[in-house]
Amino acid sequence: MRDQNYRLSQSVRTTTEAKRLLKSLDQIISSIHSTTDHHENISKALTTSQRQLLLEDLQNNDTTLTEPNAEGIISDIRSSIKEMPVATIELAFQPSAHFTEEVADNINAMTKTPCIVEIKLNPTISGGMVIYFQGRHYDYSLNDKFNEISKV
Amino acid sequence: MNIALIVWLISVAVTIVTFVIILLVILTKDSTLLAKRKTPSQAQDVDEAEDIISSAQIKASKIIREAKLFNDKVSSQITKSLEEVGQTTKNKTEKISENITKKATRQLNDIINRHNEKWQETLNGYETITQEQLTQFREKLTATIKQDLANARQSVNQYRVKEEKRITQELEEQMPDILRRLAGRSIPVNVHEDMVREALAKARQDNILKQ
Repeated sequence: MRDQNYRLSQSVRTTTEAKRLLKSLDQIISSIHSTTDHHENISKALTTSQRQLLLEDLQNNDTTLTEPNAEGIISDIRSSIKEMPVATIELAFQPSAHFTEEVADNINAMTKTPCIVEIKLNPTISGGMVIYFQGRHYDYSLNDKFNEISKV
Repeated sequence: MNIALIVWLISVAVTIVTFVIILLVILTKDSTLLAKRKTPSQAQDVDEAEDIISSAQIKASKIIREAKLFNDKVSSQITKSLEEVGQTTKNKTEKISENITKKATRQLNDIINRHNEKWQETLNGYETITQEQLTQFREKLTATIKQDLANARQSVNQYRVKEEKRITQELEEQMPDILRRLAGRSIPVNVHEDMVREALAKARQDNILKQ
């Protein structure tokens, strides 16, 4: 089951979204044992688009939440999110939620597999950004340019 | 004691006093000369600091212009802040120059005092002093003073060079941080966002994450 691509996990773009979704999935897992009205629980825990993606994931795996393996699928989705690579982006300013999503979309468009974007604030880079991904860092900040001045 | 002896003693005393006066005049003149160097040396220190600031300003302006990321208001804020940094540097170098002058004056005063004492000791050692002895001693003393003055000048110059190097290094180290702080603080959010978009475009072009 783990080799499946879960669309729900791949919809996560930022660490904030990942944390929120993991919490929601935890709620769904615990609710599977406490109630039979799973659709209502999903509705409470997930957004419309997430709900749709989860249902599609279940459908792709020929299962429903009423079946015993539903819990396994949700656990797998949880694990997929936790295993996603994280790209840390340092910015010199505090971005809005909208801009964070824009950055995350752009980063995801550059990577082979979906990744979670973590935004960190670092005023010392002045402007632009620094990317940390899979043990490497790529400096696209004004920092280097300002350092040139010390070579006057 | 006959009159001739008294006259001779008076003439020796007058000669000594005259010589001391001449020596003091020479030393004071040297001291004044060194002190007068304060202005050109200050100017030199300030000029060098201004050169550094000016070069940094030109380079910063070039970066700003090439990056096309700052609007006019931000650019003028950065320029203004750089001018303030320049003024601070100027004040710093003036203070250093003042310290150098103080050091030079102190060393000259030491030389004058030392030689006055030496002069007094030597005179006390003579029961009588001949014109020839006086001339010999004067020549010897003048040579020693010249050497001491040369040493003092060298020491002051070394101090000046060391201080200039220190302040230049200090400035070079501080300049990027100053600019970073100024820039980061002055840039509006929309300009920051544009810079990040440009950086993203560059990263995409570099194909860095497709590994």
